Parts: sequence; structure tokens; C-alpha cells
Amino acid sequence: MISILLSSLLYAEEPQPFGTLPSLQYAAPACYPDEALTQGKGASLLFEVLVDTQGEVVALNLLDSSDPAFNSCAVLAMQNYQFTPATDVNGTPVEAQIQYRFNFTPEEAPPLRLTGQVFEAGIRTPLEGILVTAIGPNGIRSTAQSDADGTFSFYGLQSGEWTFLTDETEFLNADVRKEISDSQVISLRFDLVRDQAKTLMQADDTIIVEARRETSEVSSQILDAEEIEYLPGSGGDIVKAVQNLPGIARAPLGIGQLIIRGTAPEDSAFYIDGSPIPDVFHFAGLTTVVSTANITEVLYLPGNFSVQYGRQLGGLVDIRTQDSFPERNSGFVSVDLYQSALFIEQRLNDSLALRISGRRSYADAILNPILNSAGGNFRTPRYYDFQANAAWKSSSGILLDGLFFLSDDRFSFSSMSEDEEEEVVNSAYSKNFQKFRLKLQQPLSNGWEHNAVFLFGPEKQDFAFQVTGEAYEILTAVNFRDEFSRDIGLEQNIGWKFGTDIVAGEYAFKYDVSSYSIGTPEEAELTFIYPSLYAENRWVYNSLEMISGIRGDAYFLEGGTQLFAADPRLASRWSVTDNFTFKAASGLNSQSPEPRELSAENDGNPELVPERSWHNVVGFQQDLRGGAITWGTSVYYNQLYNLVVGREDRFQFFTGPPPVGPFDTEEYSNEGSGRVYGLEGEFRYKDPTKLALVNASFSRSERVGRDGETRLFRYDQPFVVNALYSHLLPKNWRLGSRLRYGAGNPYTPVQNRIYDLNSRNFIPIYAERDSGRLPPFFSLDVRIDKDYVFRTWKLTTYLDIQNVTAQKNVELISWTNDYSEESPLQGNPTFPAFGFKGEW
Amino acid sequence: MLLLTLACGAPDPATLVDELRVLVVQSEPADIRLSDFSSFSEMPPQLPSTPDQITIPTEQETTEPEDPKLNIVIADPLQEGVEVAVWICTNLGDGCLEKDIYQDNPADWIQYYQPQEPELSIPLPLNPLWAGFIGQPTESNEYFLASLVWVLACAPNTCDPVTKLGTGQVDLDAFSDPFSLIEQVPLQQSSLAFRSLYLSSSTTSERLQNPTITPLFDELSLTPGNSLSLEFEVEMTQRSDEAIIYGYTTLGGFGTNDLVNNGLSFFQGTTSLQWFTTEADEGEAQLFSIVDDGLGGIGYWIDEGFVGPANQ
Repeated sequence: MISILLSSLLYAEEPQPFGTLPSLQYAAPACYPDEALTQGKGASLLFEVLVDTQGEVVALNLLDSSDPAFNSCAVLAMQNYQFTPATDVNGTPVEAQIQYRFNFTPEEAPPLRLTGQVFEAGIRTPLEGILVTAIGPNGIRSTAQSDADGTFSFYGLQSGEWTFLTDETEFLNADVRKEISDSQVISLRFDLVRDQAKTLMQADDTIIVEARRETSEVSSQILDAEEIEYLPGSGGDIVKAVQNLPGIARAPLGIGQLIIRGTAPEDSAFYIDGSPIPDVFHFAGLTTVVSTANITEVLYLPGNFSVQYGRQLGGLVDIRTQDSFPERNSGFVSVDLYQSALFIEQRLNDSLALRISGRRSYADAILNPILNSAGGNFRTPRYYDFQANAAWKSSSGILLDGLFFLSDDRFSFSSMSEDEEEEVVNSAYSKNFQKFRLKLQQPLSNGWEHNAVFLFGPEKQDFAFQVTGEAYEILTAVNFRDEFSRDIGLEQNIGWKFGTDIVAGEYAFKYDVSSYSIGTPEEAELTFIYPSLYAENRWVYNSLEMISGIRGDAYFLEGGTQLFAADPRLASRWSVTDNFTFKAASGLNSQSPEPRELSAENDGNPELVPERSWHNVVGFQQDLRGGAITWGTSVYYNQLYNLVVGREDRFQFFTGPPPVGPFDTEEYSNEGSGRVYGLEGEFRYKDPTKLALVNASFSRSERVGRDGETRLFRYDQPFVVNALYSHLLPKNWRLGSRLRYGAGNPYTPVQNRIYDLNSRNFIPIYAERDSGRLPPFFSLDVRIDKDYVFRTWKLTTYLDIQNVTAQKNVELISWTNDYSEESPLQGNPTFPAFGFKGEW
Repeated sequence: MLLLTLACGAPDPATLVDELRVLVVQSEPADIRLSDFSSFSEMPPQLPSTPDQITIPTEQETTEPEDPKLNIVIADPLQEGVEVAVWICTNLGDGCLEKDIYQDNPADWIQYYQPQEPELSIPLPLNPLWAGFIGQPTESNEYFLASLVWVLACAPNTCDPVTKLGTGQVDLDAFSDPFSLIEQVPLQQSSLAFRSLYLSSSTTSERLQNPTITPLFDELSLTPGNSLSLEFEVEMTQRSDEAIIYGYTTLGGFGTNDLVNNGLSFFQGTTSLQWFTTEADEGEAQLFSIVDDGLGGIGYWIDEGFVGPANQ
């Protein structure tokens, strides 16, 4: 290889005569393309080179090349060339631009000295385009670049000790020292640790915004799993993050239930891939019943949802499970203070993949021995869940996805009988379900798509109190949804959706807990079928989009009970400008009374009709800075009517603290009504390393009872403010914070009490129902994450501290034994949750 | 955790009476027969519209009856004084039936007292309604329990209905619905309590008996932060699985008053209550022990104790 200095061109900010021109001191060895070397080819390239006052090459411009295959080798080599700098007439070094001819001749190709590969640590993927710099004796340099297999090679290195460095553009730097000799070829492997902050900043120098999926709803939030996994307070659980969205009130005791736009948790529904599931959280809202790894996104709809959803008055949360094929085999194990989880994802072949995950809490294993050391027999709350998922995808795009999942929560307190021979349950509660879901996605012609979801399995909750008290609800049901849809596209501005949604099965219940209720025990087994049909049209004209639909529900129960409801819904979006959208919607929803409320044999009323809600919302959304900033508001007014009232003194499974009197104890009737209205505002900022969410909800939720009097609803929270911030820092640190402030829940104060000398118990005399309100809730949470990436796996550790200010929030009001004084029950203590997760 | 703590011998806050409270309403005898009243033969049968089928007893006891009485125990730890209203209410769902009976002479129905001692013993007035409800003499020992003795105790001039009662003004509407009456009195410095009367027309010689409770100790003094076992001899003529001895005090506390800790499984025997004090307790204390045989009989014991340094 011969390098020839052809000429020099005078160049300086202020042109002046040169004293000396740059002269070559060190020519870094260049690689030689394998194919060219085999074929005995050579090449000649002409560069324009800017040499600085240190004699280093600071800019290269390829002017001419006889064979482009040699270009990269020449560029890599020339970047490390060393010159004596040019000088002016006074002998002072000056910058100079020269032309340099670089010739390759096969006879002078340098020998291979070192070969290596670069992988991304943890996920073990070869990295392409990584620059590896070798620094040898006297500071001489050589550079190589990895190819698609992550392979790089160094040629012609002098003998001696060399240090090999990788570029720090997206990864934490790595360096290795190797002794190079003329007699052998050294091999080297780099496993580079990706620095998320650097990667995201390098991805684009403008702000990256994830594309938002359009839905039929005007008030919807789609939470992306990666976006919210690190938000404080969520423990990495993406469904829990829904609790931070506008329209969600904080549940009493922070148990994680969703109080959506002033409705009871029982009035909202949870779905998985469009089919209902009984519950989405384990005890106390600690975590979701489905592993986060199985979830791609969570759809939160506070109201005015598509006609594909029905049978509830409030909002809904739809968990969308993984429907993409894994690119590689992976998994994780996570351990924290209260649970451990395992996830394995295996790609069996190009069309079949398997995912298995499970989770088990172990608070009971720690707490039971402590609590029972004094002679008690506690079974503290424990839960587990399991999911197994197999997906098959055909070459024609048909996806068949089967998911089996189960969840089990239970606790009990028992004691031994007097003869010490039998364990007597004082109180026990359990809730569990086992479900199998089969999902079919089938593309059809002309843009149509066929989606079917089949969900089957039993679900049960059970309560036992002392020896004789027992209550349970067992639902064994089949859900089937079959839908044909065609979305709008480039060629058509009308979309359609037609479907049927059927649930059928048996509902068994028993309520026989005399300590908690008045009246005769209730027990029945009822078969039922709830079919529905729905149709929806989506029409786009210029910047206006209209979505209209209707859903018809029928409810057939054993014994001849037949209920019907038709729910028309209309929504519109008007994109006033590219980044300003106005939206409005109005629609009816219906919800069947509970089977017990319809059961004539159990003090029910078969004449009841479906409960109804009429959702109305208007609002706007504006995107700024290319979508990095989004803000908007919604104003809603929901009218509730035909609400079932009565028999409030009966035992019920409540998702929160049970209400206290005074109760409406008369026969069930549809004489209840109510209204909920409010304003929600949201601000969101997102750039590659930062995510900020601020939202505020102002609302009022009222109910009108049989007596015609208007009262606050027991979950009314006039204002709720959430602010979240997550910042990705260099070296894979992440810092997040969450602030929550909201009004307390209403409660019913005790006005006075009467002492019953027969039982020696005090009977509380309550004031007007829900006429008191708990103090406001405040909590500041902080979360710190740090990833440690090893060659074949990654360790993520986090510390999630809830309520760092140790605010004493009142969750419930209890009373002293004689009801003379309130005894507030405080919750949410400062709680540092530490956990780690190993991924491979 | 609370349950465990209490079971291990700590005082139960529920046994501390730190404000005015009606603690005992005891009828003597424990079951009431019309023949117990000397005035019974003079009583005209009176009954409102329900029930329809009433038979007035015609047979009269030949023995000279001793008039029944009510013994009421009121704890007044703040020693503010107390004024008391006592009345009997027979409520079949629409308020006290006595309201109509005593329309013209309400003072005969709702009695007013200003007791100076914790124990108040008053005659049980014969209720004209009972003759109609109890029915004909029978040999069965079934009881009519719809008549409740109500006691409203208040610090002086605290409860308007009681204060007015002391001046002779009776608010019949208020007293005829005790659950509404309680809304008119303050939460503090008042105590409204009720207990069922065990009314019977039985002619058998078997009668409910109130248990007796006799202390087996002399000293009732305790140093702060210590506890004292109080032993009692209890005698009952009936036995049930629900018999229990309760302990209350105006200083310190007792263990939990439940069947597990304080159940009585004998007719006659001794039992004990553990009186606890804290380091902060000092001064005179009133102690109350109450035996409920679970069948209608009530026995009680009251005494004063002292909590202070040992040399006092």
C-alpha cells in the first residue's frame, strides 16, 4: 500500500503563507476487503484532509474512489493518520487542508492481527456499526467497525500492548488490553451495556413521539407498557398506572379498585382482549392478576365507549395481551418484598410461540409464624396467579392465540375448638378464577377483518364467618364475541364494525351471614344467557369523524325473567387543525340488576328493569411541539336512572369498606337515580428521556334514593390531582416521582349512641348518610431504578418509596367502643418497596 | 394483633368508663308477674288497638305481693351530677304504646330523678298495657319482652327533654320514640340505655332469680402501673352457656368482657377479674362488677377503690 501526498492547498481563516506543509508521521494500517484481496484487486482513492495544529485528521472528504468497496477501510484508517502540522512563516502550527491519495495494492495488504465480535449485553444480540478503536504503543491508533454479525477485524497492528475501546454513542464504554504479536491472531469479544438515556437521545435529535393508536372512543387513554413501567407507585405494574389517569378517584384504603367518574367499582368492568374478567387486582390492589410481561397495552375508557362494550354503567379497562411473535427467547425472574414472579417466552418456530408466567405472594410465609406465635391461627392474605399462552400465526396472517390464566386470593383467621381437636374458622375470604381464552384474528378481503374471542371458566368469591356464616357467589360462564370490522383507510372513508357478544352460564349464590345482615338467608342457582348484537359506523369526511353505533342487550334468566335494553351511541372528532382536535360524544349504557335482586325466591323483584346511564362529554386536545406536549380537557355529564335501590341491610360483597346505615331496607325497586358531572384536564410531556403527566379531575357524584332525597355518592371525590415525572438518567439510572392530592371520601358520622344493656353493646345512631367527609389525601412517592447489564442477562433493581413525607392520611373512620369519639384509621404509611428483576 | 394483645392480659379500653354511663338496669324480681304488684287488682285493663285478641286475666293471687322495683346503676366518673329520666316503652313498631295511655298523666309514665349515688332504686310502676299483652295465666315460662326500660341519664341541664321533665314539662312525642329522642341530646355528658323486662303470666313456682355477687377481698387499693385480682363469689339459680361476669372501672381497666375471658360455667363458685392501672392513673376509682346469667337475671357489685402510692 502506497500513500502519496499529492499537493497542499492553502487554507486558513485568514489566508497567509505557509512555512511548512503537513507531512505524514503515522499511517494507520487499513483493513483490506476480503473479496478484493482474494481477487487480487487494488484501488486508489483521493481524499481532501483537514489537518489541525496537532497534526490530527479532523475532517475527511472523499473526492474520488476507483472502487467503493475500499472506501470504508480507507476512511477508518485515515481517521487515525498522524501528521506533523503545517506551520506559518513564523514556525507556528496552523490548520491546513491537503489532498491525499490513498492506494491499495494486494501485495502490501497488512496481516490480520485481531478479530472480534460485539454483542449487546443482556439480550446477546450482535451489534452492527460499532466503532472499535485500538490505541497502541506511542498512542498510535487504528479503528475498525463491526458488520451485521457484530464482527470487526484489525490488520497490521504493531507488536506490543494495545487498548481496544468501543464508541460511547449509545453504550457505556468498554476497554480491553491485549498483547499483539506477529505470530498469532487474537480474538476478542465485547458485550456492550446499552445506556438507555444515550440511546434515546441519539435516536433523533428531535423529539420522538410514539404514534397513538386511534380508537372509536373520544375519551380514551392507551397506556403503553414500556412507557409506564417505571412510574413510581405502580411497582412496575402497568394496570396500576391507570389509577393515575384523569377521572379516576382514589379507592378507600388505596385498595386499587377503580372508581371511574363517580361510579362504584362494581359499576365498572375489566376486560381482557375485549372479554370481561371478574377482577384485575390481587388483594389491596398490590398487583394485576395478569403478568405485565403478557400485556402490550392497557386501554382506559372512562365513558362513551364503543358499542362493542356494554353491560356496565361506569367506565372500563381493557387489557390487551401480547399478540406479536417474540423475536427471541427471553424471560425474567422478579423478586420484591411481597411477591416473586417468573416469565418465560419461547419461540418454538417461525409460527408458534409459547409464554408461561406465574406469581406468588409470600407475605403469609413471613407473617403467619409471627402472628401465630401467640396462639392465634392467622392465614394472612396471599395470592398467586398463572398464565400460559400459546400463539400460532399462519403465513396468511391468521393469528390463533390461546391463553389459560388463573388467580387465587385468600386469607382467614381461625382458632381451635374448646377440645383443641378442630379448627374453627372465625372469618375467611377467598376470591379466585380460572379462565381459558381463545382469540382468533383473521384478515379478510377488502380490508375486512374477523376477530373472535372465546372465554370460559369459573369464578368464585367466598366469605365464611364463624361456624355458620357463609356467603358465596359462583359464576360459571362462557363469553363469546364474534366481530367483523373494516377500518377506514386511504381508499375508503367509511368503517364498519358488526358483532355479537354473548355470555351464558350459571350463577350460584348464597348469603347466610346473620351477623352482617337482617332477613332470611338467600340462596339460588340460576342459569342465564345474555346475548347482544352491535353495529358501529365510522365515517370520516375531511377533518370530521363521526362514529355512530347501537347495541342491543337481552337478559334471560331462569324463571322467565326477560330484560331488554337498546343503547345508541354517537361520537365525533373534529380536527380543527393538524394538532387541535375537538371531540364530543353522547350515548346510553345499560346494566342488568344482580341475579339476587331479580330472584323472587330470595326477596328479589323480578319486575326490575336494567339500570341505565347516559354519558355525555365534550372536550378538546391539542398537541404541541410535534406531539411532545399534549394537553386537553373534557367536561362530562352522566345521568343515571333506573338504579336499583333497597335491601341495603343485606350481606353484600363490597369492593371497599361496607357502608353503614341508615339503610333503605324495603323491596328492590328501580326508584334510584343520580348524576355525575365534572371537568378533567390533562397535561403530558414526553421526550426521549423524560415523561411528565399532570392531571386534575373535578367532579360531583350524587344519588337520589327512594325517598327522593339527593345525597352525595359514597365514592364522591370533588377533586383529584395527580402529577408524575420520570427521568431517564445516564448509565441506566432512572428517577421518578408521583404526587397525589385528592379530597377524602364521604362517610357517615355517628350522631349519638344507645347502650343496649341486654347485649351490653352500643348501638350507633348515624347522622345523615355520607354527610361527613374524610380529610384530603396527600402522598408523594419516589422511585429509583438502576439497570445492571451483564453479558447474557440484565438485572434491574428499584426502590419505590411511597408516602415519603409520612403524611398521616385518614382512610376510614372507626369509633371508640362506646362511639363517643371518632377513631380515624390511617393508612399508606411510608413504605419502601425494594425489588429486583433479572431478565435474559 | 389487637386480639392477641388483649388476650395476653392487657386492659381493654372498653372496660374503662370515662364518662357518664348507665351501667345496670335490674328488675327485682328478675321476672315480672302482674301478681307481683299490690295494685294489680285495681288496675283497669287498657290496650290500644293491637293486638286484637286480648284476654284479661281474672284470677288473682291470694298471697300478699311485694311490689317490684328497678335498680339502676349509673357511673358518673366526672362527678358532675346527674339527672335521670326513666320510662317503660312497649313498642310494636310505631313508637311507645304508653304514649296514648299516659296522655293525661305523663308524669306517671316518665319519672324524673336526681340521684346522689351511683345506685338508684325505684319502684317499677305497673303498666296498664301488660294486662292485655301477658294474657291468661299459664304454666309455661315464656316471657313477653317487648317492654323495655329506658333510662336517659344526663349531666344537669345538658339534655333539654330531661331538664324540662324536672320542671314538670313532659315532651311525650320525644320520649315515645327513643331513637329520635337521642338525636336531641348531646353525644357527650349523656347516656341512653335500655333493657328488656321479663314479663310473664306464669303461675309456676319457678321464677327467674337475679344472681348474687359477693366480693372475697377487703382492700381495693392499687399502685399505678400494677394490677389486682378481684375475686368474687357468684351464685346463680340458672345456668346457661351465656353467663358472664363484666368488669368496669372509672380508672384503669379490666380484661376483655367476653365469654372467652369472663364466661361463667357454674351455678355457684368463685371467679376473678383483673384490675389493671397505668402509671398515669391516680385517684379514687369506682369499680363495677356485673353478672348476667344470660337468661334474664342480673347481679351487680359496686365499690370504690384507690389508685396511688403504697403509703397512702
